[in-house]
Amino acid sequence: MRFAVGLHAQHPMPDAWSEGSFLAALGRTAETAGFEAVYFTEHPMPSDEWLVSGGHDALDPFVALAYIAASTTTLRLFTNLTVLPYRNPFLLAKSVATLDRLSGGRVILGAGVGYLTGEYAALGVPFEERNERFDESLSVLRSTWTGRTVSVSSPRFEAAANTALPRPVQDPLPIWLGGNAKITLRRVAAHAQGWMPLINPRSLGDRRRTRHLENLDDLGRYRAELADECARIGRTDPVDIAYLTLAGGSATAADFNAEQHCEGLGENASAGVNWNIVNIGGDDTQRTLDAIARYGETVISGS
Amino acid sequence: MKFSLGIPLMHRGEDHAFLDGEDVTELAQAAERAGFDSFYVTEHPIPGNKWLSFGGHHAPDPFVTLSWVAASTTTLRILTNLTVLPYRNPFLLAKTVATLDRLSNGRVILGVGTGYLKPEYFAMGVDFEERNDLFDESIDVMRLVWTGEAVNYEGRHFNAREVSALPRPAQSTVPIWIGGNSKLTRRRVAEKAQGWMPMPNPAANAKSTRSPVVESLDDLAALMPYLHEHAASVGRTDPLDIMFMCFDGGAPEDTAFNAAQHVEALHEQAAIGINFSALNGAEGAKQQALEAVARYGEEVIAKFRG
Repeated sequence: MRFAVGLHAQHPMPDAWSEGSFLAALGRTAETAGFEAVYFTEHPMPSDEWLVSGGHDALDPFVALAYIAASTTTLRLFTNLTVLPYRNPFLLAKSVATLDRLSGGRVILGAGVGYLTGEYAALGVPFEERNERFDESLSVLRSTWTGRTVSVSSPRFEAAANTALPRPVQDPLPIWLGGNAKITLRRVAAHAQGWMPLINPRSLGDRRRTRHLENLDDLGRYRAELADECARIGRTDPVDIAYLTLAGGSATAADFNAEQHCEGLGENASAGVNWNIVNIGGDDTQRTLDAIARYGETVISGS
Repeated sequence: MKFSLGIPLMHRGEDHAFLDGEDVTELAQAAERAGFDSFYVTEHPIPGNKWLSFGGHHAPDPFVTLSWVAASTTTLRILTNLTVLPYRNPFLLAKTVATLDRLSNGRVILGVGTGYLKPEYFAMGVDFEERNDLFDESIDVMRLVWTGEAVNYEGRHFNAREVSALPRPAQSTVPIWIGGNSKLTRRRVAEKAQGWMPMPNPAANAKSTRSPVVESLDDLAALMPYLHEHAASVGRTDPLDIMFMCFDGGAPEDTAFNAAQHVEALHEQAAIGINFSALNGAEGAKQQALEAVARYGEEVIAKFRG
């Protein structure tokens, strides 16, 4: 099992979470604790309605990850996740390639389709085009990253003969896709290096616009679909699967039960999960850093 | 006079470019040690091959690179010189800038321009004919977003209803500097920016850059009166930063660099109101670029201190 850590998202975000010194400390503490990746989500322009009903603020993930990259040496830099249709694919290709080059090949691009229509409208992206744009973006990213001439014609843009350098260090650059939909699993099999199933209890209704996932049985069913899809197209290289466990409680809480948590990790591992996503963080920065260090001692070192 | 160092341009593609993190760190720290006040990166997300083969160049993502620079330095300001506003959704850009400003503890200067490369505009899917409207809209929207309050704004290509973005930038007014020589640019600077970045623009380039010729300091001086008159006419009283480049005396990476001549020319620039000088880092071997930065600090920047 490998481990990725991110700050527990809140609204409003504690001031310290956007301080450079704290992010540097976060990165270094995570690296020392044995985490292999740090992650940030994105919400460039969420609706107030969503923010006051459980939504959260977010930094620009690429800027935040670049800052942490400069403060660490091996920690991977993971977007969990960036909403592909929000971004112009050439701008995104450039951001990712730059970060991968600066960091010596440490990027994992976690990507999803998103579901917040108010944010889509503010960004000027037609919600009904989200899947078409998602596929287009995946294709443009891969072709731009070759560093060779790109010639693409789309209803939205026309690249006659254009080129972008620098290239990323990694080839292929790992792309992990989030979500439980059949179309997501097909995309993972065909285009991605990893899958991020999304915990999605029925109690949330259809808000997240993807299939429900409440337990490892659900996950196992979707994973079987993914395996079938890989077999159908002849894919043989493995797919990373990043998920979480709620066992043992919150890693930030004083009563966090590491033993139960490790049992949950074992069950996840049996279900094929090989990355564990750990959400950490309270209002107090030192407690947050201490919780990361404690997780390293009580969970990662024993796994 | 204050000084800004640019990351070396990528006329040689990935060869000898400052792209690896440790190289960028070394260069940025050398700039800070040498007395440079700021560090800049330009942008070209997806340039056309024709422009690339006729003197154009690639560029890394400016915001990602400047975030790395911010983490590696303590006081150096970080400047985009420049980002092409119409290429970017203003809400995404506002988030990017706010994040960078917070992480760097208020060190961002957002240098912006309208751009002029049609094949890049086409690839970006942005209508070249709309560039000026999009430019103005972008500045208005970013200023609104940075208040942290709910935004309602129907743009040319978006409709924002009760949306908001936190955190806000660290600076109460993120300095926006606008690049270009045109009268429209100077009007915008007077009305809504904190700085102006006129460009050296030889007559041979004026058609492709769509901007007035600036071949001499006299050419530049001739553009100033309108800027100041318009600033006065709109009731503006706070000062404007003006950044230009200086080529007199040659480049510090050349052994023949004449620092005395360079310094004299900078004094002449200062006399017409220029208070920032931009220097592109040397394109070549890393050591040469680092040595040029140190030399410039000793032979030029030191002359403007104390």
